[in-house]
Amino acid sequence: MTTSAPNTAVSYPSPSVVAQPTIRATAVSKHYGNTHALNGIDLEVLSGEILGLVGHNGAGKSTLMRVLAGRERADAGTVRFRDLPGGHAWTGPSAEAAGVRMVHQELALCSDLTVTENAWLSDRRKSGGFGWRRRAERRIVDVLDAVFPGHGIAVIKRAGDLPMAQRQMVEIARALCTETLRLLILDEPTESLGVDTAGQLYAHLRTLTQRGVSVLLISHRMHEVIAHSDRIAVMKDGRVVSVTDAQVTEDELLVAMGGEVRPDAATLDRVVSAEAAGASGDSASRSGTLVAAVANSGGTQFEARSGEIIGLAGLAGQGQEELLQKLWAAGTFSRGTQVSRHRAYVPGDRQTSGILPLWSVAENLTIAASRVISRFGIVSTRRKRELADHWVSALKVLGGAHAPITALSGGNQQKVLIARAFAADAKLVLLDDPFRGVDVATKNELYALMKAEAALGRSIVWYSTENKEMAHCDRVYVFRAGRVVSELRGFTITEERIIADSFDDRTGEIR
Amino acid sequence: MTSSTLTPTLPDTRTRLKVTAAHGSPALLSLVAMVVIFSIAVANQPGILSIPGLTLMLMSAVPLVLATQAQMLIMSVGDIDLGIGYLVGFVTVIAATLLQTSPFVGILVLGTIVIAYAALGLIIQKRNVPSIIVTLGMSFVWLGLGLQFLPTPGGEAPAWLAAIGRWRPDWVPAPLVFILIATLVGWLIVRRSRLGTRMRALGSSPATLEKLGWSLTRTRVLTYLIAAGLIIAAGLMLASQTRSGDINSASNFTLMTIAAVILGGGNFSGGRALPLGATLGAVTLGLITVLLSLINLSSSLQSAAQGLIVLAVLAGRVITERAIRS
Amino acid sequence: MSFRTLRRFTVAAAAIAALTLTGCSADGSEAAGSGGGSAEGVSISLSNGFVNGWRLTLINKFEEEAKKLQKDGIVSEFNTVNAPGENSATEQASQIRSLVLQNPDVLMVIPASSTALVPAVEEACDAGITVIVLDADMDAPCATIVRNAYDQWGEVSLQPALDAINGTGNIVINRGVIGSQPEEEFHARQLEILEDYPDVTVSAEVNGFCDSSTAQKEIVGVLGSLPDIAAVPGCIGGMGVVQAFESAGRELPVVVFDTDGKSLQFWKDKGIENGSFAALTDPGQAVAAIYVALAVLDGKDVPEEIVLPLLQIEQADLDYWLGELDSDEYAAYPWDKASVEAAIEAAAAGDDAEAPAIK
Repeated sequence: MTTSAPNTAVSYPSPSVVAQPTIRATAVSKHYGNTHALNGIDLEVLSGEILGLVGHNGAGKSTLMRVLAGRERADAGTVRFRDLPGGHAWTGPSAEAAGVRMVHQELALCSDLTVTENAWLSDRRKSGGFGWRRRAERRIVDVLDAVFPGHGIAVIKRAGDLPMAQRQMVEIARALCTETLRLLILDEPTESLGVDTAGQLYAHLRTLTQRGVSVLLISHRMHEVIAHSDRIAVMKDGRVVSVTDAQVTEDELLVAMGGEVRPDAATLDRVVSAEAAGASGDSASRSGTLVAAVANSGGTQFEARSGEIIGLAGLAGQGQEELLQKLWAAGTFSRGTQVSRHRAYVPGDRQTSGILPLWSVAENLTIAASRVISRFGIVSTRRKRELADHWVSALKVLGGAHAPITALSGGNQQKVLIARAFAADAKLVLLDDPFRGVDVATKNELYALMKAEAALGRSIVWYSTENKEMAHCDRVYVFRAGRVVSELRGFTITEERIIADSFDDRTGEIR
Repeated sequence: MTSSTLTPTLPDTRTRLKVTAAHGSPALLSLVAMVVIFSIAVANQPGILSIPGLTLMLMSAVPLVLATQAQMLIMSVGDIDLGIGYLVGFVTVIAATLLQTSPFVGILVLGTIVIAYAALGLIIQKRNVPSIIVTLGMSFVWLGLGLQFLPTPGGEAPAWLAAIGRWRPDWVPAPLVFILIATLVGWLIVRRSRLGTRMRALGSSPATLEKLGWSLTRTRVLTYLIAAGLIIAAGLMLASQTRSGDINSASNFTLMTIAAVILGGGNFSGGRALPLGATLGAVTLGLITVLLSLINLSSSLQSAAQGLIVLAVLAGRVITERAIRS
Repeated sequence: MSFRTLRRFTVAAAAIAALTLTGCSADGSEAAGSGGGSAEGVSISLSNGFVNGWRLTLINKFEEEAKKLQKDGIVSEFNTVNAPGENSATEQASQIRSLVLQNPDVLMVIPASSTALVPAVEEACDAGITVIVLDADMDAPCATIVRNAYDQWGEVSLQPALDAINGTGNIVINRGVIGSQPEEEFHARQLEILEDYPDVTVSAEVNGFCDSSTAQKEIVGVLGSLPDIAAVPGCIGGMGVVQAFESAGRELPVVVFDTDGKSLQFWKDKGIENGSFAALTDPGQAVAAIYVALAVLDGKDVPEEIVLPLLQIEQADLDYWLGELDSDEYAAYPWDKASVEAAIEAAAAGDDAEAPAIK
């Protein structure tokens, strides 16, 4: 067996020689509600290759990954594994049996269990009665030693007590605790790993592919994908838009992800309105009073002024929600954060943290507005009713003020939640990706509302995973690895620019 | 697999000891509390340091330790059993009535309890009902059934059970033997068996366990099944000591067992299970009662003192845990 | 780095200090509690299942007498412990075990359960302690039982009433703690007596649970459907019964009052002279039990069970008892060494024990 030194990314066996697909997806489609996550995907992973998969938020990478691993059924199209007959249902267990392993992006270790126990849980091999623990220990240690020599992980420790990087290593190693590995799906495997460990991982992937194992590598780290993949597939809006060999440049990939450079309607609107305003809207918003500011170590300082709509963009989970939390929960003791006392927050997940399901629309709407509708601490029923009626009619909430909130459709519930934030006399309104799964007509109404409210002097901070929406903002902060990497304003707010900046890896290495 | 020229980096004995100690550290304070309480008791009454003395002191802890192990299993999957107290009482009632008059029917009833617990696990998993609601409801069922069988305390435990209670070896305090057996059983189940690993995984992160292809239902049902077995053992041990049945005899066990598990390093959210800690917690709680009456604390203040000591230990646990983590 | 270590250390030290503190303060109270005893004499512990007014009188009588004997050097030290919880036999069992650890000469137990505590009592006997069980009919041959007879109680709570109504009329029987074994004996004896009175009709039975307010509630509930009632004999509760009849505007029946100062005062204030009386078990049995224990320790021949007479108060004794009792205090026989020894002899001979003279 060859002992390959880390970072030797040379002389790959040409995939065309083997040229046999391990797994092939044909015309796969998948939709959730009216969101089309996958739109007729055709993709194959060849035996013995590393296929890189890149794409921006909502391109459908995770869905595709779950479909390939059998965790979800496609609505249309077929997934064929090479040995299995055509009519075979591709389910989780059959994928397991066929030798498909997946390393999740969100770490899925049981934090209360030891490393060994976690590895045992996912190991399908018979582990026998007595002494199973010793054997499981031996297996995971062998894999860890093979993939990450010198890893320094004590496998009897609880997974929750390990640092992030070691947990990621365990997550990878336990997927490799199998004798029948055929396809390994890695979702952002190096996000928490250091450079050396990432090098060890890629070196090991090479030894795997030499044995004919296929690897599907999903990563936002463009240079890693380019350096280590045999082929690279680019996804956008639920389709594979291009499959190239690894000889592409980062810029070419970015262009492929960002889509064709065409002026989209939303951007046009903004440009027109900005021109109509005569003077640059930019300087106009600058004149507002400072409502919130957060010192960002090393990066750009975040600030929000009255009358502004501020967008938070970038890949999902790069620190946007943390910033919202910081602004929302800021108190006297939070250092470096300066924020208005009156603020409102619209959470993204309305089922778990938004609505009060037993209450009516009017009660849900006015719960945060007690300062507006009460005098000397006593709530005025009349003013409460007026306020609710105002918002219900302004936003055309179907069902009226007295309907139970749960009787409303998702879009209308979301309207109520947003109206609640605006009904309170908050100077600062925080929106945490509030338009997920909301239909286009409702979205347009809400965009208009936001603009109108901003014009009245409120400041709105808005996190969205949909880059198109950012066109409605006055300024946009793009996040990468927990910090602001760029600030866009006015005409520079374009989808292409946001995508390009989100992959900005200059500050991307965490450790 | 890859034939590595390196020796596998299995943890050495020293690391093993260190990690085990770190994992068990939440139970440490309970140990300290127990030692302190025990020392004070001995200082007051040197007679304790004899086999009859230790026997008397530890006796009442035996059923509590068994019930605590059961509670620990249930808490390890993230549930809480609020019916333990009355179920233990109900078992003493069965032991003092049916088990004596018609042993076969008695055993049948005890078997039914186990099946009922399995059904509880099933309902909690399948219908997604909070365990506290189901078990609280069941506690009234046990109470009602117990009153039906034996409206007032009484009855007589079968001779073999009374013999267990009378067993007094002269080389070791009998309760210590039972306590050690109970702890060992809990330890084997929860830390050594593969089922135990799944139990803790269920409490820690059910989604992960399910994703990995294990049946959550099977795991929870088995947990409840074994817990029922331990609760029945607790009831039988109590009956062997009182030689009679009383549905109310263990009504305070419900909260005592929960307190003991928490004292011994467990948590409410599930995933953790420290059998030795649970035992230490239960014995500590038992010793507190003994100590407080030993030092003639006014009995009206005893409950308050008991609560304060428990709070002190818990507060100490929070502080030391934070210190260890930082 | 060193700061962290330091902090860890401080925290651990604080935690241990907190624990030792609780320990030490407990220690201090202990020293205060057990002081004052001499090496000579007998040490006595009393374990009580639960507390009510009657038990409180019993404990007070016990402590008064023990203090007196302590002065005389007969008793070295004594203590009383009430089991926590509500009449919980398990709690009391573990408490008895810790009392046994203190190794007193005499252990007196007022058990919360006459069955579940048998093993605990046996353990105490095995430890060489003289055990006296009070106010319960326990099957524990190693201990000496000192109690009142429940069938006799049934008799004294009924017979005077029947005499007062000349053996004819309607009565309501006020039952005690239904389901308990003493009550069964109590009630069985009542039924036995009633067989001899064909002219007495039992119009109703109420469950007064030996409690005045419960009795009142129960009577109010049934009174409307009842004919004229001549007497309401049974387990005390006379005050409540009288109030129930008064509020219904009915003629007062013969009732059985409690033996505490408050009830007796009520009896006097109302001027009830229809033959009503008071009858209850005797809290003085704790005092008697001390002398029984001393007799056992002296090696005297004491039977396994000593049944003492019930406490009865007739109209004629009312003023005497009112002079003796506080409002919360229950009437008790003034047992002393001589009267207890007489009672022991009577019990050994199979006779009924004589109550000590009250005046």
